[in-house]
Amino acid sequence: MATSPWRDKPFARLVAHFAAVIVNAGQDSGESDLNLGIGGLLAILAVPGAFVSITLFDKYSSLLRYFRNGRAFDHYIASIPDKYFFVVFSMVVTGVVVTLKWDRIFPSLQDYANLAPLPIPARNIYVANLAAIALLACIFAIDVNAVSALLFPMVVIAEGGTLIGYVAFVGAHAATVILASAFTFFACFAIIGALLSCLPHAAFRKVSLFVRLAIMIALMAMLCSIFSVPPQLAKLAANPHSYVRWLPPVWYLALYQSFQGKAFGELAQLASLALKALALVFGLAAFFGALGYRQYFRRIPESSDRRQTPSRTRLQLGSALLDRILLKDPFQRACYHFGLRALFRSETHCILIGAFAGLGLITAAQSIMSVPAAKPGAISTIPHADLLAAPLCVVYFLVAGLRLTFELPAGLTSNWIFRLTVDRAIRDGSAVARKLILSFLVPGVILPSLVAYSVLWGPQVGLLEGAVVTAMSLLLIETLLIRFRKIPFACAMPSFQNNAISVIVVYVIGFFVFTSMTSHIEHWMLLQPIRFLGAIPFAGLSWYALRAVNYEEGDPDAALVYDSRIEDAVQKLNLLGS
Amino acid sequence: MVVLEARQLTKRYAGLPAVSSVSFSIGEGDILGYLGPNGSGKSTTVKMLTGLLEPSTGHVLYRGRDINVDLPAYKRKLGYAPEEANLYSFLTGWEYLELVGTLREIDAKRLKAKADSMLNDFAMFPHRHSPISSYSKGMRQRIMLIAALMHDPDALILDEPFSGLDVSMALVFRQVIKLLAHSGKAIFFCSPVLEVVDKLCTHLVLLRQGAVVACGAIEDIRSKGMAPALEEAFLQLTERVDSDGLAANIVAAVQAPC
Repeated sequence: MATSPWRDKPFARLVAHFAAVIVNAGQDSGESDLNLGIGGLLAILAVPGAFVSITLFDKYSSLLRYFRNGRAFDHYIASIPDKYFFVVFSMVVTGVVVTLKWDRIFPSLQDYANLAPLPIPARNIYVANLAAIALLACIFAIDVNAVSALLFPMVVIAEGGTLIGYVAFVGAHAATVILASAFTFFACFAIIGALLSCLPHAAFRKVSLFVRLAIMIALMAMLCSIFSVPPQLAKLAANPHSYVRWLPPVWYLALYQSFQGKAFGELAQLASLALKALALVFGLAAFFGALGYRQYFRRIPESSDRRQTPSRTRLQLGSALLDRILLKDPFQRACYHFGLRALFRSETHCILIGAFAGLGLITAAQSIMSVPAAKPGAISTIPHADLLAAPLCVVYFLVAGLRLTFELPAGLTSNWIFRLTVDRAIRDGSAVARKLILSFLVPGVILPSLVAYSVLWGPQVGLLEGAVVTAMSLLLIETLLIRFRKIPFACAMPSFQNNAISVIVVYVIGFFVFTSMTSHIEHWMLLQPIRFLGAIPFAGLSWYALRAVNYEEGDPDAALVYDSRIEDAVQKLNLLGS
Repeated sequence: MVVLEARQLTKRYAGLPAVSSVSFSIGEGDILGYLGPNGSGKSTTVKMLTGLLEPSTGHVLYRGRDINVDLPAYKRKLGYAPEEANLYSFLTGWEYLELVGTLREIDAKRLKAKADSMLNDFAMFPHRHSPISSYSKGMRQRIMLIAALMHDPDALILDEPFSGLDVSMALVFRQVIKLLAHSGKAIFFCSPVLEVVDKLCTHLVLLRQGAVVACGAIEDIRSKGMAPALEEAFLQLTERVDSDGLAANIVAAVQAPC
C-alpha cells in the first residue's frame, strides 16, 4: 500500500490549517486586522534591514574615510551600535507580530466548533497550533534578518576582510538575531500562557488588552533605545549599576560580540545572560502554555462576550452635552460615537493607538532628557527648545496614529448600513475625523501642556505654548486629512504596499520638521513674544489654504468613498459584453 | 399605485449575466415574494433594488421616478434587511439602533421611545446593552429587522427575513408584514421557504438562472403550472430534480470505503 505524502498526514494538515488561520485571521469576517497579505507583509518587513545595511556603506568605507581624513577603527567595535539596531529590530518585529496576532495563538471558538467533534486528541491540536506558531515565527525571523545577515557583514568587513571572516560574521549575525527573536517570541508566549493559567476567562479577556498595550509600549521604547543605549555601553565598566544591563537587547548584543570574540569586561558577563534568559522563557512558555491550553480549550464553549456596557447614565449625560456643543449634525453625531466605540472596543485599533501614543511619549521623554543641564545659578525664563518639542512629539504621533487607524475598518462587511443611509454627496467624513482627533488632543496634550508650562514658566509662556501646540495640531490635522473622504473605521483599507517606504520616509521627515523646527522657531519667538504676532497671519493663511484644498467647491471627488481600490493601469472595455 | 418597479434589470459580471431583464412592480399593499433556487440572482436583484449595486442595464423606479435621480431621498423611504445579519459586533444592540436611527435623522427622544418599544416587542429589551458579538443568529436578525422598520419606510425589502427566527417570533413577524401591507406599504421579500411565500404573498416572481420564469398573482402562478400546489408549480418551472436518484448517490458516497 502506497503511503500518503507527509503533507496529507493529519498532523501536518492541522499545522498547515493553523498557519493559514493565523495568517488570514479576520479576512473572512471583515473584522479589523492588519491584513496586508503574507507576501506583502514579508516584503515590507525585509526592507528595513536591507535599507539600513546599504546606508552603512558610508560609515565603513575606507575610501570615504580617507577623503574625510578620518582615522582607522576596529570595525567589530565600531559596529556595536549597528548590531544593536539589528538585534532590537528583530526583537521588535517579532514582538509586534505576536502582539497583533495574540488572539490567534490559542484556538478560538471556531476552531473548537470544527475540531472538537473530530477524533483528534486535544494534545495534538495544541501541539499543531504551537508548531504553526513556531513555524511562522521562524519565517518572520528569517525574512526580517535574511538580507541584513548577508549584507551587513559584507558592508562592515568589505575592505580587509577574508571569506572565512565574512562567513563567521554572517553566522554570528544570523544566530544572534534569531536567538533574540526566539527570546521575544517565547517571552510573549509565556505571558499569554501565565495569564490564561492564572485568570478566569472573563478576567483574561479584560486584562489581555492592557497587557498587549503594555507590551506594545515596551517594544516602542525598545525601538527608541537604539539612539540612547549604544553610548551607554562604553560606560558600562564605570557604571556597573547602569539600567542598560537589564535590557534584553543588550544581552544579545553581548552574545553577538562574544560569538566574534570581541566581548570584553561587562559584555562578556552579559552574553551568558542571553542564553540563560532564552532557556528560562522557553521553559516558562512550555510550562504555562501546556497548563493554560488545557484549561482554555475546555472553557471555549462556555465563553461568552455577554457583558454589560459601562453605566449608561454617566455616558448619556456626557454624550448629550457633546451632541449639543460639538455635534449638531446627525451624521456627525452617529459617526463620531461610532468612531469612539470602534476605537475603544476593537483591540487592534486600541493597540495601534497605544503603540503610537507610546512612541509619542517616549520621544517626548527623550526630548526632555536631552535638555542640557542648567549652569549653577542660572535661571531660565523660557523653556529650552527641546522642552518645547515634547508636547509636539506626542501630538505628532497621536495624530498620525489616529489617521492611520481611521483607515482600518472595524467590520467591513457591516458598512452596508452606511452605504444605505448616508448621502455620499453631502456628507463630510473629514469633519468627523477632525473631531475624533481633537477629542484626544485637547484633554490629552493641549490642556495638560498649557497647565504644565503655566505652572513652570508663568501664564504668559503657558498660554503662548498652548497656542502654538493648538495651532500646529490644527495644521497637522488639516494636512493629514487632505482628501480624506471616508467615514472613519467604515471603509476598506487602502492598498499601500506600493508606496509604504515612501510614506514612512515622509512621516519621518515630517516628524523632524514638525517637532524640531517648530520648537526652535517657538523658542526664538519666546525670546521676544511680540514675534508671535508675525506668526498669526502665516498660520491662518496656511490653515485656510489647507481647508480650501480639502473643500474645493464642485470637486467631483468630494463624495464619500467606501472602497480604496486603485484603478488598474489597463482597463478592459468589454465591448462585446455590453 | 405602483410604489416600486424594476424595469429590465440586468447585471453582468465579466460579461456573464447574473440577472437578466428582470421586470416586476409592487403596488401599495402588495407583498411580492421573490423566489428561486440558490444562485438564481435573488440577492443581486435585491442589491440593485436598494441602490447598493448599479445595474448593467435597466432601471429601478420609486413612485414612477428613477431612484438614481435622488438616491438619498429614495433610501430615506426604504427599509432593508439583508440576508446576512452583518452588524458591528462591538456595538450593543441599543447602540446599533441608535447609530441607524441617528443616521436616518430620527429625533433622539422619539428614537429612544421607538427603539425601546420595538426591542420590547421583539423580546430584545433585556439584551439591549449586551454586545452584538454575544447575540445568537436570531437575536441579530431581530435587531436588523428593528433597524429596517424603525423609520416607518414606504417600501420594505427583506432578504430571507425569517432566517434564524424561532417559530413564535416568525409568526409575529409574518403578522407584522401583513399589517404593514394592509396599511399601504409595498413589501418585497426573498425566501426559499415556499410555505411562507404561499401564505403571505399576494404576488410572486420566480427566478431561474437570473431570468424571470413566471410572475404575477399567486393564484395565476398555480393555474399556469397546472398544479394545485405551489411547490409542484415551482418545481415544474424552475428545477427538475430527481430527488430519489440524488439521495441514493449521496448515500452511496457516504458508504463508500474510506
